[in-house]
Amino acid sequence: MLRYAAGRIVLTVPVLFGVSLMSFAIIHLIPGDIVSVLAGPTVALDSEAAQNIRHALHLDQPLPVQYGIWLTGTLRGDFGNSLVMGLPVGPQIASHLPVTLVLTALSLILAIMIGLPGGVVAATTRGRWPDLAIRGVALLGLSTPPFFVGVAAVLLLSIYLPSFKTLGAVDLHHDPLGGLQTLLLPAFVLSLASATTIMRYTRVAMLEVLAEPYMATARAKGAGRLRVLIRHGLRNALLPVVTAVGVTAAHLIAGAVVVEQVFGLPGIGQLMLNAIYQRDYTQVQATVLVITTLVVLINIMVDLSYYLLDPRIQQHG
Amino acid sequence: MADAHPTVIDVPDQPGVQLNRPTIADESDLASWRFRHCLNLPLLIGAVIVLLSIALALTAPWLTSHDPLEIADASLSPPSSQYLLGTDQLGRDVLTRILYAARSSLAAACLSAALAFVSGTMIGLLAGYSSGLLDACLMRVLDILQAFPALLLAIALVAALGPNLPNLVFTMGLLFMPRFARVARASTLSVRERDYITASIGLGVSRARTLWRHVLPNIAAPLIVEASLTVTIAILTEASLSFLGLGVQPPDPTWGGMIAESTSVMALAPWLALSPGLAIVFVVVGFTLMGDGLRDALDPRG
Repeated sequence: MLRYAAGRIVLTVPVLFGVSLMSFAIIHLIPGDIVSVLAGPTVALDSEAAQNIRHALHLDQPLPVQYGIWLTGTLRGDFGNSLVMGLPVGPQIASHLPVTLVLTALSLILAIMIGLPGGVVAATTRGRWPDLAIRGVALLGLSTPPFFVGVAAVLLLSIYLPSFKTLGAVDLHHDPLGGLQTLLLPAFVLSLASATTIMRYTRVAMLEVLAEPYMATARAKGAGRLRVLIRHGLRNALLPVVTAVGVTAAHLIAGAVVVEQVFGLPGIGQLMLNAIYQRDYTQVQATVLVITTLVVLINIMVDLSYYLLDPRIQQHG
Repeated sequence: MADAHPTVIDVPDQPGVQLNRPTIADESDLASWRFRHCLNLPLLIGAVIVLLSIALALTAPWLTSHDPLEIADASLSPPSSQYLLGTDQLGRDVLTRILYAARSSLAAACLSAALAFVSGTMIGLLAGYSSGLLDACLMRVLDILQAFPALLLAIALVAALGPNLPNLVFTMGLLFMPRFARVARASTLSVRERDYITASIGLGVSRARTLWRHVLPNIAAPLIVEASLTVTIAILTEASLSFLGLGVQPPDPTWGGMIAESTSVMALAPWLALSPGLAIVFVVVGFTLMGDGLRDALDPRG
């Protein structure tokens, strides 16, 4: 296990290095001089004030040196200072991250709770109306942008259930239960696309397993229908489903950026979007890097869970 | 295949060797097999929706008597015979804006998918056919690109480059390129070992011509399916970007932008959010059905 895990982690080092390089490079794609954006149009680009800004941001150094300074700082947990607020970016990210993580985790749980039974039911009723209904709903779920569902949900609830709190601040630290309740609707909206993906994978995997001879054997030896379905069917269909869960977990974190915007949630996605609107480039860099690193870590965990679920990898890996 | 009796040919040293030579009956069988398998219901419905959407987008100026930027006296008027889907807070006709928004949305989605298709296929062909160091390097670059959540990288890149149609196409093309590169590479790896490729190389056909004439046609099917599904993701990505204010800029209409604008007057005019949202769902369902149908039609195992 340890050797397999270590191997997987070593393989992600070059990927993370490339990710950091790209997060850094995005800033340098911006046409024009950042200094003119920061100092305002009235400051001449060769004035002393402009030179001071340039020096403070290490913009007077060659690009590789700038990257080196930024990377060594980031590895020590120092993401630099926000260009707009002047405050360090690190604590900002740390205070916004919990909302995003709870939102993502909650919608992953919801997605599995919707997608897994949906897929099993669709597979066992293949071609009949429950299958067709579930697949129809899934097609709609995959085709509807989450922000539209979010806007529609807020609209409907504000008309028919005015007491339900749909928008607003979340204080997970002081009021964890209330915070979770506020996050429930956004999490549901966010989970729809993932639930669809998990449902599709589960359905295909279950259809394959249902055709296996051991399913008939299990039924023949007298095991109950539900027991066969879960112990023999679902367990063997789980591997591709784990892949789907991993893939959607990565999508969920990116989708959270949009859903946080719809519901006004103070997560890392909102932090990034505000940074983008305000042209706060150090904050954009840092948030992109943090979110992407999270996704890479999730992918490692998915790979490690294969190891636990599939004995064949344990023998060969 | 009842009529397809094997043709018996006497090969000089091995008399009575049977060869399964295709006969005329075989070919008509093949044609009807193709017909039955290519025309499935999802493909048909999907193609109709896609063609209808494209036609509506192209003929928008002749379909409506309003201008997408024209400001009428009646703002926030509910759907009526004059304004079929009502007007927005500035008094612009919603139906007209939806039709015109289809142009930028479909253009961004189809052009970026086309860009990703061409560049990704070229990279995948090159990586799969050459293998070795070049293959390894190209694949690591794709790993890095795909490590980013697509929407996140799209937001950051479009924000950095500037939100306009060419930058949207470039950014989404770059984001979706790895999907085609992986499909093309995997298919090329399996096609490369076939006898007809060996024969082509043995006949002295140049590498470029072998790739173009013999490898590409044989890996086209999965790429076409991928293209159709990529367009759906591109439409949803474009919608999300324009919802966040990072798409085609106002006053030009976008579906995502119309939904974002409608949130401030949601309680007064709920129809404003509904119609552009349904437009997105309609088009994405069309491309998804077409992609699923194409997969069933083109999959040789199906």
